[in-house]
Amino acid sequence: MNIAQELDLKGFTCPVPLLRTKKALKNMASGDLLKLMITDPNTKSDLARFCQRGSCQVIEESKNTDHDIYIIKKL
Amino acid sequence: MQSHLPQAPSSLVAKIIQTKTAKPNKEVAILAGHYCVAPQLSELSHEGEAEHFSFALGIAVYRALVKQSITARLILWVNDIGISSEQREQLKQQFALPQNYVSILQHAQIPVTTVEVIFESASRNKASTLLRQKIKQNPEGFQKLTSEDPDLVRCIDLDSCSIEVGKSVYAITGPEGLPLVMKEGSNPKCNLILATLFYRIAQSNPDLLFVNIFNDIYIERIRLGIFVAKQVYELPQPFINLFCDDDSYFEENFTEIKHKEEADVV
Repeated sequence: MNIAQELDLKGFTCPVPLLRTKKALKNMASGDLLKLMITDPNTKSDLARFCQRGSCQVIEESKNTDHDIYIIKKL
Repeated sequence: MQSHLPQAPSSLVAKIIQTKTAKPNKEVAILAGHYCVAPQLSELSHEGEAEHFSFALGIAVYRALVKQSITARLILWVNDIGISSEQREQLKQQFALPQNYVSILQHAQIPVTTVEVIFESASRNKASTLLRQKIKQNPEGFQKLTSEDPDLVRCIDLDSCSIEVGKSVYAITGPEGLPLVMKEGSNPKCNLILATLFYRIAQSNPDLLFVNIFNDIYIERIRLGIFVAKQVYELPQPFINLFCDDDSYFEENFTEIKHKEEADVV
């Protein structure tokens, strides 16, 4: 998997992770992958709702010991 | 940052007028320009591009409605949570609209005093009191759980709304059927705080149409806030919701969220 950018958002709480994600996606090209490392459990529903608009898609999510990992594709 | 006004889309203005006519609302409450004052949320301050655009769009909509002789209110909701109580008190006493917002108002020839400022902390304090009353009136309508329940759906806010261990949680069944946390320990969650804001605005004139104009990162919060407003406070008022990027917006009206009576029937 070719990750174009990574964001370490561990320790940040809602709504900062989504804000930083949105800003990063803005500067990426269609098809690029963004990797997020997040500790805030609420970002999951935030991301899901945000991606419903059609600008991005959560293509993978997994758990590390102390954080969640999301791979987002810019559409 | 530019102070010129975006064009209030005629289709939006027509929709507001149509909604007013269809549901004899006498007033439109425009919530626009919401921003945070806490230093750790500086990315969401009034200098944020989406916040600036939200306020400018709100002013444009307000001006278009007033031109058509429609009574409208301009409401600025300021997040003053995440600062000390002393700083909060000082903020309230010395509050002035941010200069970039003043410039937008000046450009639109709208007096600064038109803007009603409501602080989030005031809604938060009121939320606890009102929730207590609601639980007393209808205890079956709420779930009392423990904060460790893995199925709980939360919407966290900074500092005041961290997940607490071993605390009581008050929840209702959320839009997806899972328990939606409204209060954890002594902390009302942002969905309840937002619902309380809507409730308090509607108290002054129940014949109201809400027009929310927010940064699009808040879409989930607004959805849950409206859900709680309809379920807990039983607000019948219609909502039109616009979500902003830096220079554009989209409309999302959460049609899946029903008024309480409609939801009960279903």
